[in-house]
Amino acid sequence: MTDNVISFIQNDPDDCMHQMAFNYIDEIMFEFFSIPDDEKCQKDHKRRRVFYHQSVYDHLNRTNQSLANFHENLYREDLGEVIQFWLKTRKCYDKEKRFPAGNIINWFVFAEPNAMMLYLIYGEFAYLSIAPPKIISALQQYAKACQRFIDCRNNKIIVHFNYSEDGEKPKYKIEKRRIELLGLLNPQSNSSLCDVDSSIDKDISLKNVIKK
Amino acid sequence: MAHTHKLIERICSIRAKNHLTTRKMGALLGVSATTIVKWETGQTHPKRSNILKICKVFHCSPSWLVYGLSDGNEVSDITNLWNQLGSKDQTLLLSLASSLIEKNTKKIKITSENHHQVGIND
Repeated sequence: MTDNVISFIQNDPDDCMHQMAFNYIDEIMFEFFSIPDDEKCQKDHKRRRVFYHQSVYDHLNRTNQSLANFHENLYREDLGEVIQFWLKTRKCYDKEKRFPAGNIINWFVFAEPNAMMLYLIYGEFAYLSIAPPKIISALQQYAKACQRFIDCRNNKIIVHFNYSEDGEKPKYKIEKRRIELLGLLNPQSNSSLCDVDSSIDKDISLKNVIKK
Repeated sequence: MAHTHKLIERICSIRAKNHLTTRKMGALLGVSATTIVKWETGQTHPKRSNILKICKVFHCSPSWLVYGLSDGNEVSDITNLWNQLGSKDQTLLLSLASSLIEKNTKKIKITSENHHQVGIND
């Protein structure tokens, strides 16, 4: 009986998925951290030097997309607002600085209709990769569990993020049009997969809020 | 600095776990003791190349060191926490864990006795 239970636990599909996603993130991190600081970056975004993984170029070839189009979509206003809003709730966001998110060390995953992207931020550097098909569902599950997932696959942006640190309310005061969103914020339980101290486990549709 | 702060904690815990002075850790990583102090006090964060060095020398994953991620196996997290505790707190934690196991064992016994009774009645 005990043996059966142990065997079941060891074969827990969630554990396998998490292991796959973790290994993938680790592999991408090794590549990101191996890039010399002075290497030419692909995009300079708000003083952050963004490097691209080879998978991004493969994706552009596969989808016959130009880099300009890709950038236009990636740095579009609604997605930018969602990410900025989240960054503003981080403790290391310093609004007194010229580039307030310059010290951020964080990561997130966002899903577009034809690509699952991993975005790693380390201070003034960032790295973007596109997950291979075999890793997509594992990465999605892992990022959701870690509260680091943005779903842009439908006509709205659904965010699975934690919006506060240490159980405190976000320190950034959001402007009037975001009040409705703040009402949805609900710092609560711990996440066992990463060191976020509080989390929110709700799908928050931002489209209506942002468009107001 | 939430995540930077956690990065600091993890660097400190690696040094504590390995019983290293800032000078010794610096020597292992090819940086000065002052650099280690700067990392641990949050004045600067390690360059990406130094993150990889830390991972290589101390056998940890960059995802864990930088972002605090784990593969879902909390044993290593518990070990890290354990290593940061003093001997008094470790004893306290051990007795707490023993009490919890004892409590759960009692629960299992009661449950299995109940199941057994149901079986007899059936």
